[in-house]
Amino acid sequence: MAKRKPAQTALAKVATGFKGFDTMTGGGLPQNRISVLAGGAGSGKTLFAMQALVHGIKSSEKPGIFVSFEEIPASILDNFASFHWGLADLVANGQLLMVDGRWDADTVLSGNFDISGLLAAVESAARAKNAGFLVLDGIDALLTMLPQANDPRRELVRLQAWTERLGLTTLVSVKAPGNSTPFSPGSHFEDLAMYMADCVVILERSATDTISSRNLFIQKYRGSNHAQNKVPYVIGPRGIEVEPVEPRSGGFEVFTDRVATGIDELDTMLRGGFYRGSTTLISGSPGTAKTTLAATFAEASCLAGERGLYICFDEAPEEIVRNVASVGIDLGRHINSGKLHMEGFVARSSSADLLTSQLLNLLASQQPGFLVLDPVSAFNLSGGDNLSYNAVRLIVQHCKQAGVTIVLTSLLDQASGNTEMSKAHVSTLCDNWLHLSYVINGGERNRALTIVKSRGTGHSNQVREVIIDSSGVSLKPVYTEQGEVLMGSLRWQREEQGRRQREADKQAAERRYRDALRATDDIAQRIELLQRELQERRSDLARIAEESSALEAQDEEQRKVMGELRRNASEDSAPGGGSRKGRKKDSSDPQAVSKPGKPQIKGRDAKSPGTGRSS
Amino acid sequence: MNAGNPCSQGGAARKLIFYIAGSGFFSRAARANLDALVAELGTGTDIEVAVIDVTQAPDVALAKGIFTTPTLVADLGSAQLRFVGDLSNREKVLGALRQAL
Repeated sequence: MAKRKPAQTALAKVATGFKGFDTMTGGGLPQNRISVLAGGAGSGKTLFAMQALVHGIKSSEKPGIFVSFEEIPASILDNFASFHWGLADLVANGQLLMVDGRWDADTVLSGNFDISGLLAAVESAARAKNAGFLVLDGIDALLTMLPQANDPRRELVRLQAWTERLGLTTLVSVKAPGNSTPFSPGSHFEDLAMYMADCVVILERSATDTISSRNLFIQKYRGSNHAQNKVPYVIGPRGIEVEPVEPRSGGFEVFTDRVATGIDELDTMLRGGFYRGSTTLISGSPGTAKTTLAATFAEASCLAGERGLYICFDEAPEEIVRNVASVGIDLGRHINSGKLHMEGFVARSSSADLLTSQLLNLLASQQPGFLVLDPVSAFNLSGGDNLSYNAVRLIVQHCKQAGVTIVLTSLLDQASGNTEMSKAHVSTLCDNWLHLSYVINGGERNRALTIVKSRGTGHSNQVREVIIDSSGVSLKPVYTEQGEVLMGSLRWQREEQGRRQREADKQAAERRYRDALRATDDIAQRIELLQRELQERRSDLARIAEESSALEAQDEEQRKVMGELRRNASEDSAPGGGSRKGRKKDSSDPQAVSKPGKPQIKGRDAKSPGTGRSS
Repeated sequence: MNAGNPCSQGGAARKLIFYIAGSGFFSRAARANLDALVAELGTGTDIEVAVIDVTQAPDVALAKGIFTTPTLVADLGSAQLRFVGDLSNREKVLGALRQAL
C-alpha cells in the first residue's frame, strides 16, 4: 500500500455546497480521500451525498459517479427531480454516472468474496471520464453480506488503498451504528468504516411525538479543524440546507432609524417606534389582540412604502384580512398592490426545520422590508424547544443581516404558567418585547399593554390599556388606585368622576367669586346710601342752625319788646328782679345764645367730615 | 443485479461465466473450486465455462454489474443464476445448479 503523501501546507478540500457544512469544516470534504456519512433511516444520507456530488460536478466541471447499493438509480433520479438540480441533464451529457450496485435478492452466496469487481469497474469508468468524485451510497448493504467478521475490514482497507491510489474524492454513506443490526458481536461495520475514514459526518434524525428534527455533526476530520457542535439541517425545496454555525457577526448594517408601529401612543412609548431591522415579540394570552397589533404594524409599514411578508399559522390569510378589516385595518389593499405578501403555513403538518427552510426561501424571493410571524409559537408545535429556538434564531439572524424588521407574535398559555415567558425563549432573541395581558376588574376583561423590554430605547414603563374599535387600535393611560389598575368602564368611571369633580370645583369657584362681588357691591351701595343720608343730615343741620339763629333773633326781639313793655308797666320792683335776670342774661347773652347752639353744631360738624371721608 | 443476458436467447446454449479479480491466491483458489464443481456436475453436460478477469475487463464488470468477485453467472437458457463467492460452499451451488438443469 502506497504511503500517504507528506502533508501539504493545507489539506485540500472539496466544497459540498452546504454553506453551513463548508463553514464547519473549513472548506468541505477532504479531497481525494474517503469520507463517511453515517445516518439513520430518513436522515437524508442519499440526499446529502447526491447534493454534494452534484455541487462537486457543477463547480469543478469534473464528472462524478454515484453507486447506489440500496435504491434503484432511476428512482433516485426521480425522487430528486423535484429539487431541480438538473440531474437528468447531468446524466444525459455523461457528467453523472449512475451505477446500480444493488445485491440481487436471488443471488446465492457461495463463499467469501471481495469488492474488486466494483473497484475495477468504477476505476475504469472514472479514468475514462476523468471523474473527480465518487459516492458509494449504502455500501454497508453490500459489505454486510460478507460471511466473516473480519471481511468488511479487509474490504474497507481495499477501498481506502484504492481511493488513495486513484485520487478520487469519495463519500461513503452507511447506516448509523445505533440504527443497524450489529454485523457481529462487538464489531459494527459502521464503526470500522468510521475508523478508516478521514472524515466522518453523522446525520441524526430524532422524532418525539409528532416532532421531527435533524441534526448534523462532524465526528472526526483528520488533519483539519472542524466545528464540534451539532447543527440542525433541513430538507427544503432545494435540498438539504445546513444552518451556519457561526453567524456572520458585524457583517450586517445596524440601523438607527425607526419604523412606526402604527399606534401613535406606542411610538411615543418607544421613543419613535421600532428600530429598523429589529425583532419585536408581541406576547399574550389568546384574544389579547396580538394579531391586531401585528396587522396594525403591517399596515403602517405598507403605508410607509415598505414591502412585507406576513406568515400566519393559525389562520388563513383571508381570515386575518377579514378580521382586522373590522377594526379599520385594510390589508387587502396592500396585498392587491403587491406590497404585502401573506402566506398561511400549516404548522402541524411540517417540522420546524421545514418551516424554516420554506420561510427562508420566501424571504429570498420576496425580499421584504418587514416580516410578521403570527404566531411564532407555531414553531413549538412542530419542533422541540431546542429545535424551535434554533429555527427562530436562524430566521432572526437571516432577517438581521437583510435589515428586515420582524414582528413575532407568541401565544402564552396562562394555564401552563408561562405568563411572561415564551416557550422557545424567543424573547431572548428579540430586541423589543411587548406583552399583552388581561386585567379583570369591575366585572370586565380589559387588555393591557406593557413594554417588557426595548433594547437601545429609553422606553416607557407605563401600563396602557389597549382600546380596539372600528377605527383601529389606540392606547389609553390607565388609572391606578391603591395599587390597582383601573381599566375599561372603571377607567371611564374614574375619568367621568374626575370630569365631574373638576366641573363642580369650577362652579364653586365661580360661585365664590360672585358672592364676593356681590358683597363689595352691597357695601358700595350701603356707602352711597349713607353718603346720601349724611348729605341730608348736613342740610338738616344747616336748616336747624338757621332756624335756631332765627329763633334767637326772635327771642331777642321778644325780649326787647318784653323789656320795653315792662319798662312801660312798672319801673320800681319788677325791673329789679327782672333787671337782675335781665342783666345776667344780658351780660352773658351773646355767649349764652351761641354756646348752647354752637357746640352742638361743632360736634356734628366734627363727626360728619370723618364719615364723609371714609365713604 | 440487473444486467441483461445476451446468451439467454440461444435456448440450448448453457454457459457458466466466472468473474474473478486478478490472479492472486484468492482467485486461484476460487478457480480450483470452479473446476471441482464443473467436474462434479458431470462430463456429460454440455456446459461452456468462461473465466473473465474483471481487472482486465472492467467495462464488462460495469456493464454486467459484477461488483463482487468471484461471481459465477450460470446462464442455463431457462434460468439465470448468480452465485457470489469463491464457491467454497460447493454443495449449495451444486444443489441450485442441478435443480435448474
